[in-house]
Amino acid sequence: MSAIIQAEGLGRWYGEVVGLGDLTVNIEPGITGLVGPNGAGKSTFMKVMVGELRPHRGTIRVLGYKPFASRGLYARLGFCPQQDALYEHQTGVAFVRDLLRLGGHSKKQATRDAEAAMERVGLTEAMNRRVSDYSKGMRQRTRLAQAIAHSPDLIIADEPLTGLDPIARRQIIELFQELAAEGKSVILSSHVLHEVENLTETIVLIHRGRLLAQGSVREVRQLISRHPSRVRVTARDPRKLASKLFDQPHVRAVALGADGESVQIETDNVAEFHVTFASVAKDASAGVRSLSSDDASLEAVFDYLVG
Amino acid sequence: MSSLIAMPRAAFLIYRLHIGMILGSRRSLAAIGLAAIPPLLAFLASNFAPDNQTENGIFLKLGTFVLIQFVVPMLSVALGVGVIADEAESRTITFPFTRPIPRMSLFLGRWLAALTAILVLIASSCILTALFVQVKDRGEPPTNEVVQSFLQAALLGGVVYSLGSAVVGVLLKRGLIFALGYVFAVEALLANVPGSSQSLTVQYHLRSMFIDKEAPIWKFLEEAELIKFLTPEEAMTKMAFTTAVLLVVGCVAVSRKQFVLAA
Amino acid sequence: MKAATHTEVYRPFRGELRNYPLRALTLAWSGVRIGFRKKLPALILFVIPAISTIITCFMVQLAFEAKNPDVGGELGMQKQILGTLLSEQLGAVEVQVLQLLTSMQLFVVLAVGWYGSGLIAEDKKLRANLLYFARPITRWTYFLGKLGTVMFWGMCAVGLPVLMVCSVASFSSPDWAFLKDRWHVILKLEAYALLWVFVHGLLVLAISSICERRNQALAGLFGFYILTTVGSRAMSRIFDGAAWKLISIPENFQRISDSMFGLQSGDRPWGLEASLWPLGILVLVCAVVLQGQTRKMEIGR
Repeated sequence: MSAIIQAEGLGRWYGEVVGLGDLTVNIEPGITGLVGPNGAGKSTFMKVMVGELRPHRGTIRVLGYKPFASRGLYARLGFCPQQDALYEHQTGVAFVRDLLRLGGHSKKQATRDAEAAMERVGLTEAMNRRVSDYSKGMRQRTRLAQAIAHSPDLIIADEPLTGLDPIARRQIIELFQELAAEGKSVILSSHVLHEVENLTETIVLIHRGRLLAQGSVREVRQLISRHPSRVRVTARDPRKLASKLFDQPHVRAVALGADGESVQIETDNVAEFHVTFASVAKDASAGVRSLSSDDASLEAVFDYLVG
Repeated sequence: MSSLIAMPRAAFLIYRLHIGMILGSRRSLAAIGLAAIPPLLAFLASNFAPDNQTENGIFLKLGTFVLIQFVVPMLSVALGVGVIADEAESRTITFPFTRPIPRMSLFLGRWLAALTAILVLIASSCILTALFVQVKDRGEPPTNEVVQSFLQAALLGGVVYSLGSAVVGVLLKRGLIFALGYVFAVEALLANVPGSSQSLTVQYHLRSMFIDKEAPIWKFLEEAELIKFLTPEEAMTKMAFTTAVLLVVGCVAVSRKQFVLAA
Repeated sequence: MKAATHTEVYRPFRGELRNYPLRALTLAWSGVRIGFRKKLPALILFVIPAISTIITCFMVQLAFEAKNPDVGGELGMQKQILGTLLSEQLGAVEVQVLQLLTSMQLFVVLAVGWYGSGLIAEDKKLRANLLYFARPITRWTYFLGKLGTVMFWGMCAVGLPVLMVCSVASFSSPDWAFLKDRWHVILKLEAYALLWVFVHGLLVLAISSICERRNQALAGLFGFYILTTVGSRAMSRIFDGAAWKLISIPENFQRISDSMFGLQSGDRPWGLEASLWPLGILVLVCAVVLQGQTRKMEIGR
């Protein structure tokens, strides 16, 4: 199966702030959750995917197109942005209809498709009211309606479940599942993993503009548990500390640092290691000066996401 | 759909959408108020000015100092600068930009909609001013030729200023400030300083379109400001060229520019 | 269940709240600090006033140095002549400072426009008024705070340069003559600058309070300013009289400066009171607008 998104070494920054670092990722068809904490670079990645921004570095292909200002792509793409912006003077259905007309629909067809889209997002009753009178959730659903109205092959939705009440959230999740069943691909972002887990197993985990993990939630979880953590300890007498650490059940390997003052430890269970380390250090009387973990970010991010 | 068909179609659809927005906005009320100033002053002057002031004299002074120097640039900047900038500021630009239309059609459609409003207001203002100076019979009403030349100059000013402002709005974050700064600081200075630097301004070209070089009322301008005015045809040609350049710059800028929108 | 830590973390306040009378100053200073964050506008707005001030300072110093012979030991007629010469020098310096003041007036409009146009409009847009008025501040405090911010920037453009040049003139003049003989002129110059800044500050705040966005307020300020200036010029030509010039703010201020500094007011053949009236009406209208708008903001609209 060919990837719908092919990003290679993608970089995008805003002045001195890095939005995307060096992101290389391929996304397959189906529903994919783009997860990461706030500020991870999800929205920037989405904006690059829909051609709102150009990458400063690297390349990206979406459905085989270079996305910036690509009319070919936009005929096959629906984008639901995060920002709460609509043409306030219009009714919900008129908003969707006019955008459909821009896509080449005739007036009659656009009206029919707009009404159908509003119905799919559960706004039939309210579709003839001005969007300025809509609640936050209704506005969110209107944005989603314009993204799905022209029956695109790929729907990209930036935090589509934010601001929805539980019932509307369930409706939208069902809608995404229906779309996937119709053969559409959906990429949605969220910083709440539970939300995405309800919808799909496939996630792309981004943190600080880089890819941390990709695959099913279960696989990523296993990967983390199998992945040994590295801890670096500096001490007055590192050899003494190392000899004591060898006896610990969670420690897989211990290596003395080249500087002669530190010990590199690999552990299967970093949490357990932290619990027992204090007593080990005390027994060894090795004069521990510092303790740091270089690769805890994946676990920390994942812990944060699963709450 | 090829660009040749897609562009005018999309531009027309956007034009219709934007006209609706303009009519429903508070800004259009302010614009109407602005356009009402010259007729209002004409009415006052017609009724209360000294008897030695002719209808034509009043019209020429109001036309030059209020309509051409103030109302036309102010209206054009106020409605023109937001052609793209408003969509970017309200963050709705994502919607048309993720549709299969040429990006420049957004610029063209929205500018044409703003231009329609600007031209209607300017034309109404100019014609009503010409009518209101005749409320009280003072003799020597402005001839059709005079009104027509003012109208042409004002409309041309509306086209150039609004397009220039629209382009500034695309290129700069604080477009309104820069456009106002240019129109009322740079132009106002250059256009009123004696010497050839005047020919760099839009105002000079607009003045060239309505100034009758033989009329004593304008003699002082040429004598005091040490500059020869162009013929209306020359002025029109130069402004048409400027418009074409601005249009190309605007279309290219919209097609190439990335609009970074905050969430 | 009683939370034991509650009283630990949030200790009950025991004592009396002091009535802090200078809350407006805090508010004004916070506005000024926000203005300092952006360096480029400050550079653009104040570079010309700064250069003009430095040049005028040099000219003033040169004027005193060039014509400042040693008068020690001289008596009688010669001393009298030198006294007259000094008086002429002081007069010339006074004119130089006045010219500086007049030429800086435009920059005041730009500075108060730039820094003041968003002060209330942005608060309304961001609904910051709900936060402000949830604190024990009155509308009067809020207004004074905003006015303080605008006036700070306005005085930076005109009051500070005048003060600097006057200081240089005082140091350079023999025996502090400029300070001793012309102290009233220095006061008048600063008072005039303060009045100019106050009227424009009030105008920009009033416009800001009725606009939804900063840009609109800025456009409104310049629109009002240019309309009254251009309109007064056109109408005074039509009416062959100077009365229409009274709708122009700069013309009225010019008339006030004519009176304050004893200059000829040939182009403005009307009394000082006639200029004070329109400015007074403008101030009144601005105050009424601000009163109404801040009241709306206070009740959360």
